[in-house]
Amino acid sequence: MTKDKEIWERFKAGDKNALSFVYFQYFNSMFQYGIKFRDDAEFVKDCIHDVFVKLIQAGERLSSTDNIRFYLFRALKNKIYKEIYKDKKEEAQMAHLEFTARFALEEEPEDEAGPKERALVRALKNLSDRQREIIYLRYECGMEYEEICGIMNLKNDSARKLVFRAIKALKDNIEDPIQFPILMILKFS
Amino acid sequence: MDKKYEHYTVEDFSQDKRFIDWVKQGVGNEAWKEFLQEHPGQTKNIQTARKIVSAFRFQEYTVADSSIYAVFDDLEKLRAQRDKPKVVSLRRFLKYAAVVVFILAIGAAIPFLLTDKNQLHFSEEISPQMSDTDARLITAGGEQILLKNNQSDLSISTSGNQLKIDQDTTINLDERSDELAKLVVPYGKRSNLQLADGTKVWINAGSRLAFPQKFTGKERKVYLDGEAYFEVAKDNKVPFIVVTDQMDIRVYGTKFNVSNTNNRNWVEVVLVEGSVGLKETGGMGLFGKETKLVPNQRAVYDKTDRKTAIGIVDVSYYTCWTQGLFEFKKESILTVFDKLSRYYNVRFITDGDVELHKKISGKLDLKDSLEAVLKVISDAAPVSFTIDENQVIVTSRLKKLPMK
Repeated sequence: MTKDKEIWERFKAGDKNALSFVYFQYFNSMFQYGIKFRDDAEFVKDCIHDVFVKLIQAGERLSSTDNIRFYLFRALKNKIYKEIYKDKKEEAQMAHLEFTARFALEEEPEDEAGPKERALVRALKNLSDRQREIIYLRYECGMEYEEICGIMNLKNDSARKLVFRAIKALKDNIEDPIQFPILMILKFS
Repeated sequence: MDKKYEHYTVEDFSQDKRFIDWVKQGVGNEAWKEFLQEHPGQTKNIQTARKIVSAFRFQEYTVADSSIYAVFDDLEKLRAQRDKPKVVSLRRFLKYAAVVVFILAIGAAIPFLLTDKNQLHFSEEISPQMSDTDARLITAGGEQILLKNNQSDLSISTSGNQLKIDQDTTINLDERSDELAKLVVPYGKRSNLQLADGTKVWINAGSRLAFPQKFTGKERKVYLDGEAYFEVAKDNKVPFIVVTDQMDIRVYGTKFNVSNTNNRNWVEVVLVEGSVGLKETGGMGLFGKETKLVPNQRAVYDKTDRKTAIGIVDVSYYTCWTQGLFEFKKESILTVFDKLSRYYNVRFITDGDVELHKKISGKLDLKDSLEAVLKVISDAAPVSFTIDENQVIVTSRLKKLPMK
């Protein structure tokens, strides 16, 4: 049995240490993920609380897992989705949960940035919310593409493809900022 | 270092786990430096890839430890109850009951921080217990008087030397002691008290009030833990002050409700008439600013982040308990259970299939029997009740759904 599997079985059985281990191990990462969907700490904390309440109440009826983080992230995302759309049943059918967080660079004041940085930020701004979410899970959480697709309900290879496209877009902007050809012209004229 | 890196493009590097670990956490710094020295042709690609990977970063939020522990404490209680017959975590909905951990931490600090020695009058032995059956009055002289009725009327004479109970019993009070008298009201009971200055106080179930038998000096100070409704006798020269563990309420002749239940993390003041000023309690306060309320306003002071939010409310909703009514508007079933458990001194037990967060609305007359009140709730929500002595077993009328 893997470590996760064993801990999860103990969690299901209502083991005290398993609860505190799982909770303290994952609270922060769940919180950091949850807040990306709605910038409201109280709301996210409530959602995490409710996720755990449900897990504790379900006990032995929970399915097994050998990947606790994956399980919790999925559960939290579902919970946030439900909370956000609970009063709008019709919209909920269509909508997906928007990853609203912005990259740290986008939050920084623009006037201090050079032209290359600005080009990079522009490229970041153009990334879709899906791309942001995949990048977050991959680059900040270190998840495998398989897990990411599982959490986001994506087809096999699409997470990897979306990341590749994001990298390409950033690269093009870093290597050929718009100012570049203008400088060349000045030099040769 | 792996040979493959010699031919890597920017895209390859940006997706490589080992490369990402280096950029994000500095893992393998030496090896990468060496690689760069041996393959200077890859410098540009690596620089660009570093920029990209570094750009894939989000702001980290910080969460106060106290609130992480608060949630945990609540969950742990729920877990501990699981093996036993499943008792509803009645604290859960009080935001995080869990804040109990936090409050206890403050509680321990109070004796050192509070300048007012009277705060210490609330020792643990007089806290209302679930098992208590009678309300108790502890006089300044230390005498304990048990109050047998579900709702007792107490009144202290203007001179402060006589106590009248339910209009029929009169007890002489010791005038020499300058100790505070204490009234402890257990769950399932309520008390009305008229103080020596003529101020009327309705004390709700599960609450306690410490007060001087006779007011002397420049202030009229009482100490509250729990919920009470005050009609303060006017005296412009001697302000009336309600002290709670987090907040002082200074009164200028007025009617208002204070709720400061221990297992909640907020203090709530609703003003019906007159004017009150709110101030953080004694030595705890960093900023001694007074917040004033006008009638129909409700102030909620959050103990965790120490902020006060003020809004206009329907005051009858907050004060109807003094008439034995309980009104709830879109409140969770759990909240309703909590209030009822206080009035009727019962415990609610559920099997975990009841949707306790479902919101219901209605008005209950608490002079009715528990059975009659539960009937009203089962009409409004898909639950049924079985009463077993002082336990109410709640079951869902909906089919059980397995959790995925």
